Amino acid sequence: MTLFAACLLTFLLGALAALLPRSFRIANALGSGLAVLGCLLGLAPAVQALITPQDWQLALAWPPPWGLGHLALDGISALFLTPALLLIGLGALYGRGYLAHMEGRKRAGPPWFFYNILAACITGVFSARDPLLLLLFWEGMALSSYFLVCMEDGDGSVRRAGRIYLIASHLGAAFLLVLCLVPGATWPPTQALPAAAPLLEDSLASLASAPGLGLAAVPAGLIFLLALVGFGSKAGLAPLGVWLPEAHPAAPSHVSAVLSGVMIKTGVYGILRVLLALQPEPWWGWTLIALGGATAVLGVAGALGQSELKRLLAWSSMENAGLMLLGLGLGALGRACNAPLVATLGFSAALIHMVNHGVFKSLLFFCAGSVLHGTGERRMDQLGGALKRMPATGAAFAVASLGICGLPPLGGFASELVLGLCAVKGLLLPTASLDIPSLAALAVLVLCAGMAAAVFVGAFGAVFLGEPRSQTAKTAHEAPALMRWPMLALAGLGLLLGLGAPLLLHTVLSVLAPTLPQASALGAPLVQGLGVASVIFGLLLALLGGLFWLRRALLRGRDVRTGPTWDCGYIAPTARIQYTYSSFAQPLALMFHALTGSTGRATRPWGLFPARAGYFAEAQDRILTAFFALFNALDARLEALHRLQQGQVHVYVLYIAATLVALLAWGLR
Amino acid sequence: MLSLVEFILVGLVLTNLVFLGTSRIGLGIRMVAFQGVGLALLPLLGHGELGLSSVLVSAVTALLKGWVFPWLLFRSLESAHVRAEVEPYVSYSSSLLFGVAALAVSVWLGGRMPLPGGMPQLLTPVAFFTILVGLFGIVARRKAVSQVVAYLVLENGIFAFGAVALKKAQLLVEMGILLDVFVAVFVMGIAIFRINHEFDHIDADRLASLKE
Repeated sequence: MTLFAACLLTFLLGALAALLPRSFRIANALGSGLAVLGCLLGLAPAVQALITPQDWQLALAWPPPWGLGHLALDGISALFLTPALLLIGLGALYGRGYLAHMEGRKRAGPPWFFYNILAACITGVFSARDPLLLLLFWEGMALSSYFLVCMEDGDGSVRRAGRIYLIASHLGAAFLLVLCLVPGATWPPTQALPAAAPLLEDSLASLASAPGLGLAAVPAGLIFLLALVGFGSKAGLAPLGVWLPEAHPAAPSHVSAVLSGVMIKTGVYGILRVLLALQPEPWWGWTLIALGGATAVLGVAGALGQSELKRLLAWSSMENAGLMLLGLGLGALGRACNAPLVATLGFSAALIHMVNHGVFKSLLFFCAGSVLHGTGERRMDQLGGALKRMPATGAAFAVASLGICGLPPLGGFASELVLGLCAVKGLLLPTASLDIPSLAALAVLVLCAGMAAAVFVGAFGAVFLGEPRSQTAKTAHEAPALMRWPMLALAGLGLLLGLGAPLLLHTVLSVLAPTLPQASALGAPLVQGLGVASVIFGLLLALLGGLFWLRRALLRGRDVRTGPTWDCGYIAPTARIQYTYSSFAQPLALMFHALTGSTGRATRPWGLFPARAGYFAEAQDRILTAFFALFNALDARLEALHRLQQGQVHVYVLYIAATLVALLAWGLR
Repeated sequence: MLSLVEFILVGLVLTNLVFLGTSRIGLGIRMVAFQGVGLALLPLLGHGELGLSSVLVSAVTALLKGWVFPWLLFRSLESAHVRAEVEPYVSYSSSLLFGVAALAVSVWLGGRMPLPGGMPQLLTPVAFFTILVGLFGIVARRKAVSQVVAYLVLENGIFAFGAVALKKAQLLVEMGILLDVFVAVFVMGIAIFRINHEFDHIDADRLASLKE
């Protein structure tokens, strides 16, 4: 635990140290170096807690009245913390290379200050055991990530995205504030059992006797709803996750990777803690499955309508968060309906998917950042042929796309398999309240898997294959080594996740064991099955490698010529004859246009010698538009309240005085 | 002893009414100074025994409230070239009417909160009345200087209650309050000077243009 404290302190030190030097390079190196060091320090206790499940505690020596200063690492914390620290560390390495081109334009200190604070706060959120401490870290996380999102503050759209993010995260935090500050609140929340009531009575009675605090034990359902809204808004839960597709693309890429790969998971973590600590009721599971399913479908449909690579990835993050919530929903439903197998599979599906999505989505954002770095172009329809110019980035993107679509032999396959199995098991049980949700979850999963595959085929094809569509895409260059190595490391890790899926599932099951006692026994057959699958995947990979090697051996010493892609025998091919991403996605986007809000305008070719034809598509975020309309309406309704805000000190003092006197008179009534 | 305390308390009420009714800032400052000197006697009379601490509190109170604060306020009046009128939002007669209403409310509230025996029953209503008048002064007067004066009146109300009702840890509490008020007046004096310097006026209401 000393190492863990050292990890937090290193982050803080890194935050301060990055601010001091005047030189850009020194600040850049210090900020990223200390972040990496902090991650390494934190990884040791996290991995240790993961291997041998135990409760590590760290009580700070200065506990103020509300018990500030209690940190602990149990299996679940460690499971979230390990990938988080890994990704943050790699992100810091990558960010050092990514920020290098800003020398002379901006200072390196502030981004690294906030990056280190963000790292410390995320670590804190995963390990806090006090409601107040949790809230503190949560707010620190929201604020520091806001400043990171707004790093390119010269751009108006980035400022707009930052503002939306700030508002959304504070609306969410308002619910957490209630959750964490009701009298007698604990983190993770505890069930107020009737048997335990006499014990609580004394402390509660003293609180309840204070005027205005007449709250006794808060019903568990209310706690769940508060947590759902508060944590769900961070996890991108529809319709509160509207900030996600705005903020993630606006941030610098290494930050987008941390936001998508790690910060979304803090929301999942919060909901999971609540579900494991309280005894769920069936309607919790129904709510989670309905909202998670809506999020997943909306996310993948939104990704279809995008034209920028990073926006597409952000929408896809929403989809994956939805899948994780589906898993949590099935798990909660399983617990509520007394179906331990469903509960085990649901929770483990969510946890495995959390790990996989973190790795693959961070990798995708790294690749997108590398493309942006190499070409300076965000729009997919202006890119193309990047695979030849940036082979490392292209290979990493291919691996990550396969992984995020849930295709074997990568990690995503295992998580979607477990989720699907869980839904099937739920369907087979003769419990009516499990059947329909399971069926819905299965339908959503299948739909999302198919559409996600379409999205990533389109994105990979448009960006990396074919011929460059613009001059900037022609001059693309590979990323520097500092950005390349984190990408390749993550790609390797993704392959390992695929082969090591049984090990991951085993770890997840042992982590769940304290709350779900039969988890290990129930999941054992699945671990074995995945083991067999891993062997097959290993053979498949070996076969692929062998074929690749064979091809190289056969071609050695021969004359190899490369020609333009899409040559197809034309005399004068142009890059414009290729499918663009919009044209590729058009049929599906039209089919789901009610969800995506995408509208297309086509000028059809006409006549024997068609002169001009085109297709123009744009997507509009319907939920965000609806929120704007709602807020505008509220603003108009509440205009009368503006009169209260006079800006005159006299009147404000009058408010305070009148309130105090009224309260006193009321108290003495 | 008790009658002397009550005498001072009645004096407090009367000076409050004068403060409400006057149109001159200077008179207001003098009234606060009178109140301060009267209040300085309370720790001595409050509970019968003459300890070193009571004498110390009395001396410091008399010095600060009777001499230092008025001097600071008059000085800032001079240096800021303020016209000597209060310039109220609420007219003088209405202010007096408010004073009467506040006195009634205070007496009612005081009746709801009886003090233990051996203490002047007048204490709670008068202290509360003084606090209300101070708050009213802060709200209803335009000039920053008169707001500072009203703030002092408010503080006098708190002090009056503390000086009589608190027996234990009296020195600590009083000294804390005095230090707070001293710093506050000092800072406000500087602020008034600065605001006057920058804006050519010290009307707090015109600072509303600084609102968002």
